[in-house]
Amino acid sequence: MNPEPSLDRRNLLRFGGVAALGTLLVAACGTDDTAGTSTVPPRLGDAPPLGTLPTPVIDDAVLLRTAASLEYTAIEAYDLVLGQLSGLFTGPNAELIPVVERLRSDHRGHAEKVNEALLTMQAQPFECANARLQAVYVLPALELILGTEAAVAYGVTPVGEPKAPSDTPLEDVLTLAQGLENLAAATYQSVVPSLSQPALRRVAMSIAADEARHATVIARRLQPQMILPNGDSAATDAQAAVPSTFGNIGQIPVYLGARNQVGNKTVVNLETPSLNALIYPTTTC
Amino acid sequence: MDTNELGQDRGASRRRFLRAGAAGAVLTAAVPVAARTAAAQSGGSPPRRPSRADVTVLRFLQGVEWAAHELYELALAGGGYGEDLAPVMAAMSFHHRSYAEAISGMLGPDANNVGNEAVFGQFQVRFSNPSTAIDAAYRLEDTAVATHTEHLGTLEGTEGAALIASILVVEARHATVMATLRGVTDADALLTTTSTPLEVTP
Repeated sequence: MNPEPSLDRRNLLRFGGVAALGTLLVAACGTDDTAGTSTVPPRLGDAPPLGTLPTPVIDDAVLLRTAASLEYTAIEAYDLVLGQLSGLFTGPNAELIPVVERLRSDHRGHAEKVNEALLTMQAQPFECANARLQAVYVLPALELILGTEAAVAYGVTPVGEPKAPSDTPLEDVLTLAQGLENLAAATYQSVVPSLSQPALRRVAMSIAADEARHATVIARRLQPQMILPNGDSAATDAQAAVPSTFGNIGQIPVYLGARNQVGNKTVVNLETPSLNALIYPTTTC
Repeated sequence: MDTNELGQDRGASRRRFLRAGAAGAVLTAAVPVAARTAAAQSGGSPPRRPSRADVTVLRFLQGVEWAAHELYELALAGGGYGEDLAPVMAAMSFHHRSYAEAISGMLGPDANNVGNEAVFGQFQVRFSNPSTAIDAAYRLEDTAVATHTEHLGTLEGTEGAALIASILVVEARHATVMATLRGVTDADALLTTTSTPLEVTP
């Protein structure tokens, strides 16, 4: 027995709780001296004032610079295919090399055409790949095709579970190429209502027609018997040479990588560039 | 009380009211159109709806689409395409009909809804024979791409431009498919538009 009243644990907690409630009560009953006089949150130390984000203006130059960035994204992807991944084109598949070279050459021509239009309107040309599209589409696609271990060498930062390499890497590379060509065609089509000058719309759509033809040539190689979607599976429908009646500017599904337990590949949904993928005047290579 | 007179007065008032309302509606409709045109002329936002000049161009392009649909129907009526090709020809026919109808929706009462006779006449003989129809279809599609691309560059209204863009990008696919079906391996024929655009005729 302890004869003296002592501050045992139970009492300590009780007194602590009463004290905290009392503090809250006093604070709630007090007046807020700063209410209505200052909106600056209190802070400790000396920090620089917060800046305001610039309001983005999306004009013809921004749209065309973004288009140029997409062309360079395609050029870099084909550089990779014809360089480090050229080992995929062996035997009868070697005949694909001139086709891929032609596609890359066309994209260089498109980039020049877009940059010439930019110079004509006294805007700054853009001569490198779109970093955002690389990060969200191309690198994750590479990881799915090559597997995490091999993809790290190409700048892929692994996220989540390590991925096994695809069992059909050449087919996947062509599928990705078809997806990027469809994305390019959709991007040019999608900017038509936003371009202020009819002549610029003509330039955009003359390139879009070429991109659509690129996608069709790859589609004929991937699925020679399937010109129109047949509804058998979403993966094969996405590879059809003529996938829709009107040009689609929605999501473009691309099926890549090792198959899962039920035999499906991973779907990567490509979308035309939005606000955080546009190339603004302040964006540099 | 002369109810007839009162009735006539009421009728006159109603007519005046309707007339004033109609005039107001016309003015209300005209103001935004004028504003849009002014904005376009001053380098501001382009107009959305087709201008009068656009209507002429769109009617012509619609005639090309109807003619393309009729040519594929002519080919299908003759038969001889087999299980593989017949669905492709039918799909092409359906696509061109859809394009013509979409342009019709854009034009409303200004739409012609008839095929362009010159285009139909230019391809009619070759579409009538299965041995030449695929080659003719390739040339027809390539010509449509060239024509739509060329005249897209004259359309002021963005809605018409967006519609033609959504059409020509698929016709480019049609052309490449037809080229592959006739066994072409030449990259230029597969990947570029080589035809000369048709000139707009009333």
